[in-house]
Amino acid sequence: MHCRRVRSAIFLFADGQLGGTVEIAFRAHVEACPHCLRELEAAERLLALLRARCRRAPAPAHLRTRVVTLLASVSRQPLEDENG
Amino acid sequence: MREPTGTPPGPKPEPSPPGVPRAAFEEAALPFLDALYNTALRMTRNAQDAEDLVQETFLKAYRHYEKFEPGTNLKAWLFKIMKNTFINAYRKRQAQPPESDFAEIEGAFESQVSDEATRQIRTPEEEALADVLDEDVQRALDALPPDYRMVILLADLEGFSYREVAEILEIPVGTVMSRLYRGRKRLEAEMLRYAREHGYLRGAEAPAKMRSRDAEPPPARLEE
Repeated sequence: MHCRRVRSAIFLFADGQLGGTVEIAFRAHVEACPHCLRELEAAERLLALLRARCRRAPAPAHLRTRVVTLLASVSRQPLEDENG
Repeated sequence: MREPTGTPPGPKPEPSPPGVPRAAFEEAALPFLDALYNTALRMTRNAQDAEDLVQETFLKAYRHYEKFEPGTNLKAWLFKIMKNTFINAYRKRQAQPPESDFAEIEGAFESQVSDEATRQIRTPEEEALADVLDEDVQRALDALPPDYRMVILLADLEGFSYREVAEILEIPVGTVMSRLYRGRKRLEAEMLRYAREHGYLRGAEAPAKMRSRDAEPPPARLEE
């Protein structure tokens, strides 16, 4: 495996999407090539950073209420026959 | 998607689908409310639009719940509905979608990325990326073109597999791979730029390699 292919497969490896002989070849190259190893480490740092640092706000409480109310109004529709 | 508060989105209420108990649907689907809202917020970049989008997603999902195959991934199914709702809403409101309509790209993944991949030489300064602020991560993510942002939201933030992302966005797995690759690279470059602005990276002068990369025009959109 050459640097070219290794570089293009770095995220695939980091995401666990390689396998079989390709992954073996990838690992062998990275162990022997400090430049590609550095790229791999940088890719892994980036992914870890993304996963750890992206704020995840819970949905506002009123949204849950609205969704539930909305679904209930849809369910009641045939009985109420508002549009009939 | 802006409508008066409390008004159900969509043209008019319809009867509930036969044979779908609301309680069962709510129990299965409501746990994904936060995840859907977070992604909606990043897609619309507007809290009101995000809420409308989530409401409409739940409404559509409920109406079509009998089409959901039990045992398959409900979260992915809900996200796919939300993606389609988002695209349709923008198509209705505007002559064209905001920046792209998740169009397909041509060509194989590897050939697209390998050239630019081998051109890069990493400088030690770039390893200071860990010092970027949370706001910078957000800003960089928001600055991405929607196609790139979507795959990153789904894969990196929501933890969907490549195959699930492909299914949600209705694009080939190879396209998911190339958008992830390019999106993450742009994200990294953007965050490094912020880090330099804030002075986290040592030295007022950016290394020549980094300067030259900055001087490049932004990569062409994949669809072009």
